[in-house]
Amino acid sequence: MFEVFVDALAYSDVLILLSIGITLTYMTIKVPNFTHGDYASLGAYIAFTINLFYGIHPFLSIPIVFILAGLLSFIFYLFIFRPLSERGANLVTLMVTSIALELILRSLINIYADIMSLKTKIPIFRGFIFQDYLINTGIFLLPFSTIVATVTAVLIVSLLYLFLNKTKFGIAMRASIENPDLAKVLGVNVDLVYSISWFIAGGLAGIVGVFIPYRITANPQVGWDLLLRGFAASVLGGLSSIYGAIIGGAVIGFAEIVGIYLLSQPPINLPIAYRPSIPYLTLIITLLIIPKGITGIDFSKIKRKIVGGRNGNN
Amino acid sequence: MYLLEAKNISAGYGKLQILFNIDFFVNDKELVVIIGPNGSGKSTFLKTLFGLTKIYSGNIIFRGINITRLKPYERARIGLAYLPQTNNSFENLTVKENLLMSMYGISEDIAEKRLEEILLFLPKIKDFMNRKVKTLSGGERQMVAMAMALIRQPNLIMLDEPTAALAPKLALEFLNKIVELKELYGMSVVLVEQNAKKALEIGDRAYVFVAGKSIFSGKTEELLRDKHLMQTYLGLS
Repeated sequence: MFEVFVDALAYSDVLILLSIGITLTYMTIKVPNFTHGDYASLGAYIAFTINLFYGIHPFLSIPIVFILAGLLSFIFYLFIFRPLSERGANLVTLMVTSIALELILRSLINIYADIMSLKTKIPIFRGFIFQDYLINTGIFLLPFSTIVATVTAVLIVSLLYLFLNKTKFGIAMRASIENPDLAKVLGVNVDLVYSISWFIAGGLAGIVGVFIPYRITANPQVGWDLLLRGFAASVLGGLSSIYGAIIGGAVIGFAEIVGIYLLSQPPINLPIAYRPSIPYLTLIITLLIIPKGITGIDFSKIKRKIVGGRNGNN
Repeated sequence: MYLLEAKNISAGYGKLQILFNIDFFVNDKELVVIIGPNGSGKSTFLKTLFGLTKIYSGNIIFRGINITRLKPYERARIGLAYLPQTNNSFENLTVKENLLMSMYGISEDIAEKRLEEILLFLPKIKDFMNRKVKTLSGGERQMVAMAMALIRQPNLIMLDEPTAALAPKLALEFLNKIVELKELYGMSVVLVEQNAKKALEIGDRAYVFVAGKSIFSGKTEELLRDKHLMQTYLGLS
């Protein structure tokens, strides 16, 4: 069971980083961005290429992956999504545009993998994994990648929290997302705030790509496969809160890994092939109970009820 | 030279034209009132002065600078402030964060001084500085919104029906505060107000808008004496 928990933790780390980015871009111009998964594929390929040609460990390539994937996301925002949004494009138009971009980006990664396979005579460009190793803590064995993924996720979430709550630019980001017109009126350059949001979102997805090959075989399609889980986590989180996305990522990640483990045990004996359906079932059931997602829960009301109940009991 | 001058302004939203050839000006330390029936384009005009609509023709000059093509945040940074009628604060931010946002781009030491000054002018805000705006009452929210518009100490502040959501007694108190702030900070005010009579009492000059056109401009006393205008368009006798 401990192994399952560790596996779920590593998987959740990846989903949390992905869903934070999806939520961040959705909150700016209300687009469910389908290219988001491809930034992860791109991240995986950048880390792989750097490792192959320069021998640099994939974890050490995280900063460059963050910058390159972030830049691509920023460019897409600046030259495609922002002009469309300014011209009054609706949600469907923006979404279809992102699907088109996704197909282009995935094709480009496919072409890159093919060219590199031919050039280097290394066929693994179309499917590769990174070598992981186990750390003996004395009590149990932990995959090194899980430790790094968890530390990275905790670090990023903490930095994001500090950035959004303790810096003027971070508060401006929250303000611009909530009410862009008012933010403009108060002197905030909302364009700049949105551009940086897209850069951060893309960068985080790129980092996800560095961790993927430690879990599964990475190929040009890998980001797309993960994207739908990222959407599920983001929607579960309410689509309007970064903290909701964090909880959503953890819930979806744990539901998928722990869920399939429990359901595949006797007496249910559910085949592993059903695994991909678990996150979406979790999403549907949660939304049926809480239609607005996790952020739709009025925690202060619950707290008042509990306090009121206690006082009543006294 | 006027503090702000709008010449022959025609503007609207997309292809929907709301304002037609409006000429308007504000002098230094002047309180200008814009009144008119619902749908006459008063709020749209304030938005236009702040760059939030599409201008088809005309120019806006502020302190001698043509600001017609400036972005809203650039206008805010050169001394214009605007308090929208609704959605005029960030609900999910605390009052303190809202005030911080209102001083975006201002250096830390000046921002701290301004915060102290605004808390002297509106001391009640101190009681709920760390609460999120969404937990405040209508009056408290309006006070926060007012503080947000004032804290930059602009040369000209434009207020769009600031008393709309307030109880009558609070609304009067609020309008008196507006006069006080004009005297205190020496700033000019453009006020769009539904309480036309009270607004005209405190204003220096007035404009009457009807169907997107300015049909009167002059001293508020002149308007108060014009029985025809007062009765036909403002429902006042």
